[in-house]
Formats: sequence, C-alpha cells, structure tokens
Amino acid sequence: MALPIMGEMSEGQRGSLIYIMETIIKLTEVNKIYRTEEIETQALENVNIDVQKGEFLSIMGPSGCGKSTLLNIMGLLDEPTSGTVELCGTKIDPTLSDNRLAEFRNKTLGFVFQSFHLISSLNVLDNVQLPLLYRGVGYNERMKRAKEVIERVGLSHRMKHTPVQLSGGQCQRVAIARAIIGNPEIILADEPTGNLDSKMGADILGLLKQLNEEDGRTIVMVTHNEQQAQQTKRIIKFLDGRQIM
Amino acid sequence: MTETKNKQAGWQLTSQLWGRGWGRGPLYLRQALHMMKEEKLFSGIYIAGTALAIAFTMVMAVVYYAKLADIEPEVNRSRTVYVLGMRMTYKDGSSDDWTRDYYNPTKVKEWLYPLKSAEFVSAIIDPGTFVRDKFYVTSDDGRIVSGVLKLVDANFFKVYHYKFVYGRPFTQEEVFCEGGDPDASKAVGIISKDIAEKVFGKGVNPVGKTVNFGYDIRIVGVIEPTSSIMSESFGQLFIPNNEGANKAIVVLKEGCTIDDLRRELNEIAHKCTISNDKWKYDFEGSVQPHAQRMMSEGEELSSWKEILVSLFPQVLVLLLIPALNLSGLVAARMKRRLPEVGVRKAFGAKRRELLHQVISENLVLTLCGGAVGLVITWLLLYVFRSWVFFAIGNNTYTLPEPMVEGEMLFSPLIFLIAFVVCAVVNLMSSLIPAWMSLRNPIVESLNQKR
Repeated sequence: MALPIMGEMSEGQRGSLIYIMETIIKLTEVNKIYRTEEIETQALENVNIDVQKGEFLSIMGPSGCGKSTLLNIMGLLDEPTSGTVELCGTKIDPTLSDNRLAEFRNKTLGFVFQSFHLISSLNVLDNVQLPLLYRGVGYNERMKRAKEVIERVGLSHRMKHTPVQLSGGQCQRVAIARAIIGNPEIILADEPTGNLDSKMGADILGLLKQLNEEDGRTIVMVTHNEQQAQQTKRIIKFLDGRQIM
Repeated sequence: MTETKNKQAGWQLTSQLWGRGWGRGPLYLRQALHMMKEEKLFSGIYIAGTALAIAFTMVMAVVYYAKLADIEPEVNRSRTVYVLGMRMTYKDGSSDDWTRDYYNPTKVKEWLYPLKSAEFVSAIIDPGTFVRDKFYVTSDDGRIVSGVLKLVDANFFKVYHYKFVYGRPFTQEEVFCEGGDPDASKAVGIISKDIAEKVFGKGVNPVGKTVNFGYDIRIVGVIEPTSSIMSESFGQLFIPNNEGANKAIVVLKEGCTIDDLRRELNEIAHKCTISNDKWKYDFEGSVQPHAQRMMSEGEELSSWKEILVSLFPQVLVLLLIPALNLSGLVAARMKRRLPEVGVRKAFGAKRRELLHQVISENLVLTLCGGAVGLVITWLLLYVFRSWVFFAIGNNTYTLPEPMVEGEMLFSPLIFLIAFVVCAVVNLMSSLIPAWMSLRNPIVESLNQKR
C-alpha cells in the first residue's frame, strides 16, 4: 500500500502515521573501540540504525562482528566510544548516573540472554519478579504479575522450581517472562536460541513472535541462525563492526 | 467503622512497606539460606570465623563484666576503693627499702572509719603470708570441711550485699564486744549455705548452732554462696576481725571522688610523718580503685563500660585478622556471583540495592555465627571457667572453681555489644569486596565465567 504524502494527510492520518513510524531506537554514528595497552580494536564503526516501534528486527553476522556489542549499547549495558543513542525519544546523555541508567533500563528494556542468566538461588517466581522488585512494586502486585507472565510462557506448573530443575527451553521461557513482566517497550534478545536445540529454539522464537505481534513489543534479536532471522520483519547484517545491509 | 478504616489503612501501609524494600527481606533471606546450602564450605568458614570472633569478644567482655560491673554481692564496685597499709620509707634516705604499715584497732577507729569522703569503710585482714585464708571445721557426722575464711568487720556486710538465707550479719558490737574480750567477740560467725549443708546437713537452719574452729563459733547468719570470681567478697566463713587491718575497703560517698579520698589520706600520712623521727609515710600505691585491683586497669575510678571502651582498639586489632580472612572469602564469592550482579543491574538494580542485598545475606550468616558464638562462649565460660578467669581475669587458682551463672553467663547487654562489634567488623569486611565487585561494568560481569 502506497503511503500518502505528508502534506495531503488529514490530522488523524498524520497521527496514525506518526504512530506507525515512531522511531524507538536510534543509533547515530556509533563507534565502539576497545583499547588495551597493546592493541586497539574497533568493534563498531559508524553504525546508524533506526528501529521503529513494533518492529521485530534481527541482527546477523559472524562471531566477533560486533552484534552483541551493538545490542549491549542499545540496552545501555555498555557505552559507545562516540555517537549517540536515543531510546523511546530520549537521547541518552553519556554523563547520566548509573542510578538513572538503571531506572531507565528497568522501565524501558527487557533482556533475554543466550545463557539465560537466571539466578540459580531463586525459584522461577522470584527470578521473574526481579524487574518489579527494583521498580519498588508491592509484594502482592509483584506476585500477581509474575504468576500471569509465567502462565503466559506456559510454566505455571514450575513456579517453585529453581533453574537447575528446568530444561534449557524452560529456562529461556522464564527469562522471557522476566523480560516482559515490567511491560518494557523494547526487548533485546542476544542469541536467545543459541543454547537450545532446534525444536526448543523454534518454540522460543514463536514466543517472541507472539509477543511482537500480539503485544506490539519492539524486539531486537541477535542471531546466527539465517532461518530464524528470516522469520523476523527486518534483518540487519554486520561484518567487522560495520553494517553491510 | 473508624476502627475498620484504621485497620485498612494499617494494612495498606504495611503492604506498602512490605513491598518497598521491607518486602525484599524475605527474598534476601530465602536466597541467603539457599546459598548457605549451596556453598557449605564458604558458609561454614564464615560462620565459624564469626562465631570465634564473637566468642572471643564475649568471653573478654564477660570476664571484664564479671570482674568489674556492679554485680551482687559487689554492688558498689563502681565507687569502691581499696586502701592498703601506708607506705613507710626511711626519712634520711639511707635505704630504698620500704614496707607497708598495719592499721592497729586504734588507727582503724581514728583514721579509717571517720573518713569523710566514705559512705562505708570496712577494715579487714587480707590473707597473706602470716594470715591463713582457709578454715577447717568438723561436720556433724565427723567429716573435715574446709573453705575460704574471711576476717571482717560489720561494715563488710554494708559494702557487700550478701543474700541471707538465714539470720543476719554480725554487728559492730559483736566485733568489738563489750568488756573488751577479744576472744568472746570471735564467738560469732557467718557461713555460706554450701558449707552449712556440708556441716549440718541439707535443710537445716544452722543459726544458733556452733562450729568448732579451734574454739566454738556461734552461727548468726547463713548467706547464699557467691562466685569466687568476686574474689574480694568471696568467703565461706566470716568471722569478726578486731585486731586491726591491713586493708580498708572504702565505698565513696555519692559526689565524692578518689581525689577527695587521697587528700584525706595524705593528711593522715603527713601527720604521721611529722610525729615520727625515722619514717616517712605516704599512700603511694596504696589506693587502688576496684578496676585497678582486679584487672590492673587504670588508676582512677572507672566503670566496666569505660574500661571495655578503652580496650576497644585492642579488640578491634585482634578482630582484624578474621575480618581480613572473611574479606578474602567474600571477595572470592563476589567474583563467582558477578554474572548475577550483572543480571540484576541489567534489570534495574542500583548499586545501593545490591549492596543492601549482600549486607543482608552476610547478616544472616553473621546471625548464625552469633548463635554458634554464644554456645562457644557458654562452653568456654562453663567448662573452662577456671582457666578463662585465670588467664584473663587475674583469678587465683587458690580459690575454689568459680561459679559462673546468671547475668555473668548471659548478660543481654554484653551479647549485644559483642554482636554489634562483630557485626560491624563483618560488615566492613564484606562491604569493601562487595563494593569493588559492584563497580564492575555490567557487560564484564555478565560475561564472567561461572
């Protein structure tokens, strides 16, 4: 469908277009250089990426091409050496305090890691409610919402289990539940199927797609898997720290 | 209606507090308990280290408390001063030798009893080379019963508050009996209940009965046994002393200081020096506050609390050794937990909150250490009481094994002090490595191999 020219649009149309085209992640001229005493490694070079609200974007590329570094910068887990990062319309000031960054991450971002990163000493329920705990949400509310999201990822029968009692696929489901419990605008998934067999991987990808399609959540996924990347709405390929398409 | 509303408001507030911060407590507790199970070696070493530190601090504190605090019967320790005989040196300086004078009955009456800065003065004969400190009496069934003898005056029972099971203390009249017959005065005595039971049998009121101590002593009072830790008051047979004294026990009047007493005593010494051609008198080394006599601590009157505070730097240095070990352990543990720290930070945990969590977890371990430490303290104080009080408390092996019970064994204040000191030291030992590891960049923490 051809989009109408801005000047010809009604007020209502403009509003909906602005909604459709709202840029939720904007990286401009982002560079990341790792320096040691002997060597300087350019992990990212002049990266410019716009991610629209509601997109399911996959980032592909070989190992060491800077995919995870990019995701870490998007997720405010790492700082770019130069360039700017905008999330949800907020330009991230490099001088922002750790506490403010933590608050921002807590409200805006959800993470899914390749190795799940669940806390082994906590059960499923406690792991999932972690983001709400740091948001200062009350106990009853935390429990209620944790149970809801656990149910949504199909693990309501495993709430009291600890991560060691779960399969890889189940752990990743818990990680997804943890990522969505705080209702963040953006979910960043770093090779979420990397440690899973193909069936479990497909399940997890299905779950992420469902979150994107049903809830309209923006998802950025780093993956090696071409087949899985093809199932997302857009693919960005990286090589040696540069975006190649 | 109002009550229901108040209840609802109360519940809401509780729920809010529970949710914000307080609600994290049970979660931290669950995690701490889980970690204790998972990391048995770490937890074991941490708890053992803390327990030993607490036990060490508590034993020290208990010994000082038992020897220095106002505990029955020595309820006036904080204002008790011991005055030994005056020091006598040669006026012409022909020799450095010196000796201590003995207070004869006249000196006791004219110098010691009228001291203005004293509320009570008890003149006694302290056992030494020439005075025996043991008694032997024959029981009703013919057995020889022995115990510790005290030669005291009537004021002794005002200075020290004994619990009388039967009878009463003897009076000053019974000490300096009418007619000036010293032997008649010795005819009364007070014994401790344990000796009374050995001599007369259990459940017998021995008041009015006599024991043979070379001569017959009529029992006028029976006291509850006291602990030999309180060596100044400890005795099992008390008989009147009217033959002068080599030591005065002075309880200062409220508002009077040890310097007031020294001034009075120096006046006495000055008068003696003037009236004597050969000897110079002074009270150098003769005036000893309770703490100095018991623990060689300080020359001024000071409470056990002040003395414990003055010992604090030494205790702290000794506690530093386990604290450094704990610090190393916590650092290793924090390194293992870096991925968890990274995850928590990624999901919005602030450094302060993570620090709060680490402290809470360590506090659980410290509490366990406190409980174990308390048991070790009791074992040390109960099983090895003679050794403990000999090693730390200047106790002498010539006294019977000390009774350690009641507030000596567990004073909530002492436990609280020891626990707080160790908790603070533990906290500091965990705080530094925890803070260091929390400063790690999130990505580095997340990528740390488990």
